[in-house]
Amino acid sequence: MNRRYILTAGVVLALVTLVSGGAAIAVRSIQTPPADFQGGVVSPPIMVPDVVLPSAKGDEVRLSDFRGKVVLLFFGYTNCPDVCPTTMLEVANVRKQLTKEEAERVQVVFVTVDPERDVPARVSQYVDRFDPSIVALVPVDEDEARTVVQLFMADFVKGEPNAGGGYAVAHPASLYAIDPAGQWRLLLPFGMPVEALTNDVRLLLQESQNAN
Amino acid sequence: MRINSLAPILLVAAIAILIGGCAPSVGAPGAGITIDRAWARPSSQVPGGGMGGMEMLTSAAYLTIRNDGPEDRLTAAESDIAKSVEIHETKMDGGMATMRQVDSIAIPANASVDLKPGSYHIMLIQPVRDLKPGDSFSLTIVFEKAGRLQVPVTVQAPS
Repeated sequence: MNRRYILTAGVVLALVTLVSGGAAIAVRSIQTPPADFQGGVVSPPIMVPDVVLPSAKGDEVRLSDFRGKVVLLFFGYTNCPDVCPTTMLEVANVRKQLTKEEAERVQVVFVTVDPERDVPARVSQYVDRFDPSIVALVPVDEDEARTVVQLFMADFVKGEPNAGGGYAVAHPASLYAIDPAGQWRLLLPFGMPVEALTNDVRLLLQESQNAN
Repeated sequence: MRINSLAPILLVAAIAILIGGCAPSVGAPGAGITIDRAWARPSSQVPGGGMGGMEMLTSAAYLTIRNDGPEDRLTAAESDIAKSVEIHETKMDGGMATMRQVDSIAIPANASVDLKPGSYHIMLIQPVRDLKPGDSFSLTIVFEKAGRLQVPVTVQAPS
């Protein structure tokens, strides 16, 4: 019943688009009404405070520099062999699924939660392996990293040293999607298929297009 | 089963791989264990390790274990591709990804166990050389009952 309701709503929305002048694209819209967000929706949206952090390239980056773009924010570390590379590959693949114009309006931001080992040159090379457009941010210390992570109601925990002297860091497994207006809108959990991630990013892009 | 008695089986498996090109699976027929889709993440040197030095990024290997025999356990993984090879498990705990080393992985009878992203994986700490997509190396996985199984692992960027 819900499904039918959503479908009907989609068609009505598409018709409204048609009437209001989107004639060229509307036929396709009616056949495939836009799906709903598949990630977790932050409701109501939360305005993200203007975080300022040093980037791995050495300049200072403000999250507000990315207004007008959808920001996919991830907290990880380069010694993480499992969840972090999986997620970075996924977001790189999301950008590949998008048109060039859409991809230019999507900014992936990787913030390290392991500034002790993650020196800027290391993080910079790490993200470049996946997609050179990814901006890597390197908090000066663990406290600064924690302040930023906590803005998203999350945290990280440095693990005990293992036999080789290394350690793992428990970190948020999700991507945080910020809309072009700077509002935190979605929590995209680990394991979401690239198609679903792309769907959600597109919806955020279209929404802001329609608002303009 | 003594380790020696596995040698002919491994030899046959190795020949089968050579004949079959990039063989998709390796098995110890007598023991009922088959390994599928063994792959590892790329790695190369990045700055780190202190004193302005360089070190290799940690890689991880993944594979699917099919067990058509009795209940078994994966107890170790060995390879000369990395200085240290450990079995780890990633768990999601309240939205946090936590990773810990495990001693063994239970392999139930007549079941498949996936070592996959976000779950069990074989951590390759300090690989001894660059791992580029398309490269391959040998990994030995050790089972409590089925013994040692040598698996060819292909480096790839998963899509």
